[in-house]
Amino acid sequence: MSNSFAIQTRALSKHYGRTGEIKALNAVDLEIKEGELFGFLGPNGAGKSTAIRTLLGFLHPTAGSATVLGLDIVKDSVEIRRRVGYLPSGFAVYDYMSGREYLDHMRALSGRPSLLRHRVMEALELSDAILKRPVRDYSRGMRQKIGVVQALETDPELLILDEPSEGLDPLMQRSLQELLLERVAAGRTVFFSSHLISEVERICNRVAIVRGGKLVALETVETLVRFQRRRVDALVARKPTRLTSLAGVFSVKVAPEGKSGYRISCEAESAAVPKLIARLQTSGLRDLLIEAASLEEAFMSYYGDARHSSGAVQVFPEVAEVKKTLPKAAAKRAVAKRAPAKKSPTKKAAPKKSAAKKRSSR
Amino acid sequence: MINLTLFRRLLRGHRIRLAVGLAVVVVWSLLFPVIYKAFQDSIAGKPIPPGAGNFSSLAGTISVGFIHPISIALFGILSAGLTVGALSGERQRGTLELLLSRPLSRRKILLTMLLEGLVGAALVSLAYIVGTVLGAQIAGVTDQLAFEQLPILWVYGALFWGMFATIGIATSGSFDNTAPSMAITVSFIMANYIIEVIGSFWDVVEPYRFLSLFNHFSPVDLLNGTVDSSSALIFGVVALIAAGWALYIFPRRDLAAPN
Repeated sequence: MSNSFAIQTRALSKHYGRTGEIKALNAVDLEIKEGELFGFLGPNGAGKSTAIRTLLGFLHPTAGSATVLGLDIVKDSVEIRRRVGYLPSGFAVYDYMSGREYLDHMRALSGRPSLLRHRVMEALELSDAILKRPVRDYSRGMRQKIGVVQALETDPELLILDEPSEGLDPLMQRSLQELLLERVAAGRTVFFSSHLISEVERICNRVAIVRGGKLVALETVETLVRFQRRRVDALVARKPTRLTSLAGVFSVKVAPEGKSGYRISCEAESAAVPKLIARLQTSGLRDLLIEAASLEEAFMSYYGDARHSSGAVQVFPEVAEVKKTLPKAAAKRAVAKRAPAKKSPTKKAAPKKSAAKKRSSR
Repeated sequence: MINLTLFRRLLRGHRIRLAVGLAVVVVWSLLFPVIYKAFQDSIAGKPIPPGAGNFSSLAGTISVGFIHPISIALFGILSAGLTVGALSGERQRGTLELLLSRPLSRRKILLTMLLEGLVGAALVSLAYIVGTVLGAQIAGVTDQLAFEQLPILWVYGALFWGMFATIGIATSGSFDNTAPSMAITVSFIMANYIIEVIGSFWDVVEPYRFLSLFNHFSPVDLLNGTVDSSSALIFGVVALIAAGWALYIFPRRDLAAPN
């Protein structure tokens, strides 16, 4: 990954309405390095497409500035589009053309040779026979595949994809993800928005979460997941006391479970987990399940939790605290030390004979 | 200034409309010399009946055909009709997205689409003249046709309808869907036509006929070689104003995601 930025925005804003009362994009600061695979998450109307359209020059920024591949989005819009592959959300085609004619036409307009058409067609299972048919006969998924081909075939330096998996079946979604990973391995940058959080979690280096036109989180997927609350489910012999007084422990529920003791369920921040386990052990811990956090839970916490509505870019509280007090490198080390590794997010401290419950949050 | 790949695609997209429309114009326009001949035969040796007006000469009859309401509709469809939905139609269908993602400036896209409208205007004007010549051949009145004046008639016809094509692209670049741009362009053409027609028989409106662009387009004068070149200037100025507006407004518009 290079140190120069493929996309860099500074307080980029797009307001609508006579007095600019509708803030579709509000002072967004974003830095995406060359060679990154960057996910852009948010529900409909959060500002994802507005950001993308502003970067490509379809919308004029109200305030702030941005560069794409080092070029100014206002002054150098045409040159930017020469070097970028774009797939819009709700991709539309000229119905009177065949798939091949459409792709040839779009490639000719781009003024660049087709380098990857066959590779992308192969990955997306698009045959020559399909390309000969008129686009009007294509299914939704087939059209989306054509959209992916036109975006990728000239091997652009930067791919900007708005909901690229829209309309694709799970197998094709996986193929598309592999294609994107291939492009990143070849040194290209991919910036894509998605509703599919699992997709972003699987392939992205970093992710931004937008809400109401503001960037509410910008972190690596690993960090977002690491600092997400864990769901804790425990079986103890005796009724525990003062669990709710533990800092970082929330939504505690205690229920008797026959003769075996008490079932405890709660949510805990990762930093609070060791103290919680220690407290549970004093009550005769018999079984414990700590569920791995997912990006979806991190995402939902931003959309289900009013505490995050202030709108400023928020890293998770622990990260923010460490970053405030320590120099950059030291903060990085401290964060890594405090957080459990992503690969082993589930801690088990149960007796050997207890059967672990299997749950899946995804 | 323009993009040839896009221009070819535009022509290809409208090829059926153009082919059928131009064929209809040729057939329609060849009727007028035939009608003229039939009329002349019917009054042979008799005095010209009152109200015969333009039908008393071949140039006059051709002129009637040029500004007949059916001709207005045909000419409009094949000139302004190509531009009025060019940008707004692409926007409405969602295909403008991909077009704008290519390294083309908005002005280049607009000028390419305008060129298609201008070519349409030139072709439809040419088709009318071709039909007129064929009709004159069929009717056997070629000796009355001022062949030397036909190129100037073609140029003025192309300029006149090219002007409306330019107004079409100006409205097309100003809206997100075709309905308002179509409504404004058609209303503009209709208003000009109605002022000219009503002004020809109603004294109250007569002083305002000069405001109609149709008042400055006189095929009979062009065929008789008595044309006033100021009319070309008027068409040119109106077209330049419309093109200037289009080139100003379209690159400045925010193109939000289509619904």
